[in-house]
Amino acid sequence: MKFSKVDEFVTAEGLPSLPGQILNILDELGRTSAMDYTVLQKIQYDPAIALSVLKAANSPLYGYASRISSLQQAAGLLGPGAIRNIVLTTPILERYQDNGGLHSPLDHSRLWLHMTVTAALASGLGRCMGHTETDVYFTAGLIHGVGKIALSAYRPHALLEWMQLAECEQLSLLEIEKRTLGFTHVDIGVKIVETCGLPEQLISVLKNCYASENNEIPDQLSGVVCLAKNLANSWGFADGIESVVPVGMNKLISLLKISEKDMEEWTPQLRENVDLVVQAQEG
Amino acid sequence: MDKDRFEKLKKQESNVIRSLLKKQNEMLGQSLLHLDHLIYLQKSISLMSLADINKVLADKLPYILFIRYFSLFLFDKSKNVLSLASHNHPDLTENLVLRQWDSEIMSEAITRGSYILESDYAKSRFFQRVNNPLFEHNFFITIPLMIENEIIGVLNLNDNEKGYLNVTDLDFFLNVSEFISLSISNAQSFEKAERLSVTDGLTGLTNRQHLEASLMSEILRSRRYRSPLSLVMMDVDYFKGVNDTFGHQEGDDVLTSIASIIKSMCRSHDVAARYGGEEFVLVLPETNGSGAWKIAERVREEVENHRFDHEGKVHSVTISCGIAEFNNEGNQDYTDLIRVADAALYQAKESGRNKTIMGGGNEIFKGG
Repeated sequence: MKFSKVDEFVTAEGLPSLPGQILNILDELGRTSAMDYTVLQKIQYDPAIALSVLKAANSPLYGYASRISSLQQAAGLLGPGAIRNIVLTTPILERYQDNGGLHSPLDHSRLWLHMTVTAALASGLGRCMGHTETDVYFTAGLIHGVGKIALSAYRPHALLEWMQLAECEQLSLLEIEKRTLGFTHVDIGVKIVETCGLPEQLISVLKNCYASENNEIPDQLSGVVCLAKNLANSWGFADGIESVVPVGMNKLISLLKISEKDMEEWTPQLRENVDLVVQAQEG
Repeated sequence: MDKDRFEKLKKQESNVIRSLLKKQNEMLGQSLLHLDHLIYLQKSISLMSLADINKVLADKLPYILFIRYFSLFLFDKSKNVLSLASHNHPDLTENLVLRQWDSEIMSEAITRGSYILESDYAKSRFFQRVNNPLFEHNFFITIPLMIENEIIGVLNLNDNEKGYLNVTDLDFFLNVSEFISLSISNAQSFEKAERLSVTDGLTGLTNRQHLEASLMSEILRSRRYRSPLSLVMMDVDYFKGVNDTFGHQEGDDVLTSIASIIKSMCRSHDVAARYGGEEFVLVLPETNGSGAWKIAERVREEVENHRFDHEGKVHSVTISCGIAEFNNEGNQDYTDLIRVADAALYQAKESGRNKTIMGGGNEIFKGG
């Protein structure tokens, strides 16, 4: 598949997800009772399915067009039946080909884990900083890298080349993408969430993933997600795609006006959040 | 990556995908089946009569929902009463009427406006000390039937072949309950509109338009089966005096009370109607003139003996009655019958009121 425009990464059927993830959620949907909560527990570990759920909830069909920023809210609005249909129609991201080759040379599960760890950290940081909408922070963290998911799903071999080039030239992936593709995974992500009709505050998070390079943070939510992403990388949950991280953690902490003491105090709780997510993912 | 590891990972992925495809296939199949059932249900209960809907539900709902037992209660908000409308329980009393609070689970579903799912019947707080040997499995679900946030009934479902409920089942039940709510609400609205179109708003008796239609069909029946038919026309004596003395509200109360007396004297196939301001008509099938006279006299006496209480002042009223007996050998129509009864009523008024006069005489009939 050749891509020459950002638009071509936006597909009607939505982003694909890992087969194991889809199976897990379908198994949960086939079990007895306790329903809404357990389904939410499962879909919150899958950025691709989460995005489709948010897209449906933000459609005019339910009367809340472009107003639902939280996955929890979206799941409550749609109900288990609609979520089941979304999961059932989620495309499968295959890594291996029948003829012995590879559809994708990338380890997608690392990318998925990075997204959920970022979500857990963003939610934890939001809570520590006194923000009440921690579910929105979680959601923003979970979907912040949908541009990378699209690239890894639709152009995995090219992405691998660019990753190697970035490593070799010690440049950021963004610079390589811009040079070779003409646009970046950030542009792709923004296009996808805009097409999904998500609220402006979530679109802003994707737009401003790297804004702190310019010594500014446009809004708290974007800044917190940036910090959560960097924390995830430094705690061993990098996405396996970006080797050169453009912005340093200390700079982000100072831009968000977080003291070192606060960060130290919050760390045990944040670690606990991450452990829970990792256990759930591995379990 | 070495070849063995590659093959191992490939096999792992392929196994997961195989399981996933099976699961998707099963769930999609179930969704299609549910969709079929939903469409079938919608076609089956698109009816105007509540009784017909209830019958269809009793016959088909268990098969449509894949459940063993169900009961559907209609909720009367003004009286806080639940009436059993449809069910397939072998031992449930027909026409069961419960106060809302008699059933804790239904009452809570109504109050909350959302379904209640009890996955273990035996351990549920709603069913303590209750044992139902019918139920093989433990789940029980109560769904309020709602139309625009108004609760019109409650659907109780329990027991299925599988022995458990999953998200898909629950979702299907909730969708079906919405279809049922809509059909019931439509039928209720239709029946209400139909009732209002034939009923006099003040007295609840048949209105004049419907009386004429009923009378025409009774005349046809009387002709076909050569069966007797009579008509009584009644008028309240000095009704203007009641209005002038006690006010129009009391006048209305007098008319309503007289209507109740007339209704209480009616048999199931008689038609009692308000014909005009203070005029009433009774159509009496299978009744000859002397039978009608007896009924008219009983009504007249009952009205005469009734005491009306207006703000502590007791008063009474009387009525005059005129009777017409239909001659099924002739070719009169309903207007002739009314004309004879009206003439007899006029005679009753002229000869002193508070009496019943038997009408008749060829000079009044157009034909003979």
